[in-house]
Amino acid sequence: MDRGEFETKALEHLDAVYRMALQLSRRPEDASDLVQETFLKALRAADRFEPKGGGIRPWLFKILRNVFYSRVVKEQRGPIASENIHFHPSARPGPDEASPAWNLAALNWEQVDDRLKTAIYSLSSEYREVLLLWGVEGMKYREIALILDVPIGTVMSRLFRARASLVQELGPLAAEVGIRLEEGSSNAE
Amino acid sequence: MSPSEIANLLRTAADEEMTSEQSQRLEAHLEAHPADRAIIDFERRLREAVGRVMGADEAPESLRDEVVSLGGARVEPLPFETAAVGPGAARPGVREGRRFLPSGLAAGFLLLIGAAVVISVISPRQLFEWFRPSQINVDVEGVSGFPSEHHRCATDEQYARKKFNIHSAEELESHLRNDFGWEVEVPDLSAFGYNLLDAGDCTMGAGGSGVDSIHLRYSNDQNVVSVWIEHSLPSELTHSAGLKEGVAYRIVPLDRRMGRDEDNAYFAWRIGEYVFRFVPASVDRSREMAVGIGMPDVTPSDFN
Repeated sequence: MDRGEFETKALEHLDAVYRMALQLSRRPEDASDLVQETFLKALRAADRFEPKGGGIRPWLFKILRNVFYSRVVKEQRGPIASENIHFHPSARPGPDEASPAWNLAALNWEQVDDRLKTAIYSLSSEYREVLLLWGVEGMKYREIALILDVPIGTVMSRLFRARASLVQELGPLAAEVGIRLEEGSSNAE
Repeated sequence: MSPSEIANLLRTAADEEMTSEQSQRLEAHLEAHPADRAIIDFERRLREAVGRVMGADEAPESLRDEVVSLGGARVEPLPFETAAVGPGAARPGVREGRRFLPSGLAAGFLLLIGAAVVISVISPRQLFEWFRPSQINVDVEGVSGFPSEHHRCATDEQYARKKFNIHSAEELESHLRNDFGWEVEVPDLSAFGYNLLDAGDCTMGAGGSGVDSIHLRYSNDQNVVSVWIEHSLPSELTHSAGLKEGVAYRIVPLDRRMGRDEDNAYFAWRIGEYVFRFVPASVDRSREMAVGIGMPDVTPSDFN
């Protein structure tokens, strides 16, 4: 793949990379900075890119994560406290907790978005990135694991925790629209 | 099944990621609890909603323009290998590159005049030494600070796939061959009085773009030095510093707030598919040790 072709293909993923950068950094200006550095590094390494392992997009995601977490590590060494990128399981429902069961018939999903957005942004970056790859990119666990370079079990664990947390956040909305939340309807067998 | 197993099974079903065994279990469960089909539907709709909410953001046009302009002159190799690389340095450097591009001919002419003057006053041998591309100082922002990463790998289960429980070169070589498919000779520093203390590998989800790296620690009972081996393709140094084979690098981490981090400087070089880092660059005989395990030979003053 020559450089021109690489640039064209890489630019097709600009929005996706920006979205991921935004989820990692939370701030548009930081996201733009991350994206620029990501593309700069990608373009510099274009001649070493091999179109395997899912193509350019996963590769860009990996570079982006490298840039972001390298900065986090740096900032943690500096005098200014950075966002705690680590999730505190005690503060959230764990993967071993059953998902609440819903009577979903009356749920207006259009009303969910604002509450959901708030809930997503309350998660740490590790959970937002897995949600993004799953929800927006539509990736399989295996593909997500390759990008995050973690075992599939870790992807599932993070994903399930994140989803359980979102469900908890949506609980009040369900009550507002008259939906009954049935805790633990899936009884152990 | 426990409630948690049921919940995870239903989520996995919603994601269409079930194994055949899970499918059978799900079928049996839904026969007994048909109402739980609603949970699968809920999880699917939750995924759609997450996609809708998180997928709404688009890159600003100004960013698109910036990225487009990274092409051409912006992605050419850095004009000087000693230039700073990283988020704080890359963009200003690039802008300068574009600004000076139209005056390239004039700059080249001046360079020729300068070279003629230099050649007239120094010997050919000196000239050769000056241009010998065997050592490079690189200030790199965004690369990992080795000690902190090493500590993280050694202590954080999330990052360390295999703890630092390897204590012999033979065991490590076997681990690398069998688990990574790497054919790497474990560096031997015994000639310098340093013996392998321990080694382990680390999945650098943070700080290394998911790089599988191998950390080795050596001790002479007074100091500890470390060697970090990683595959060159995903290595952050490959991207940040453009590591070339046959060149010795002295990497000085560059922090936007704290400036140059000389205390954490280290040597780096590339051999074939692998990148090696030697830490720290400040221990007596560090350079000799690094050269002893494969770093291209350079004179001590080259890095000063």
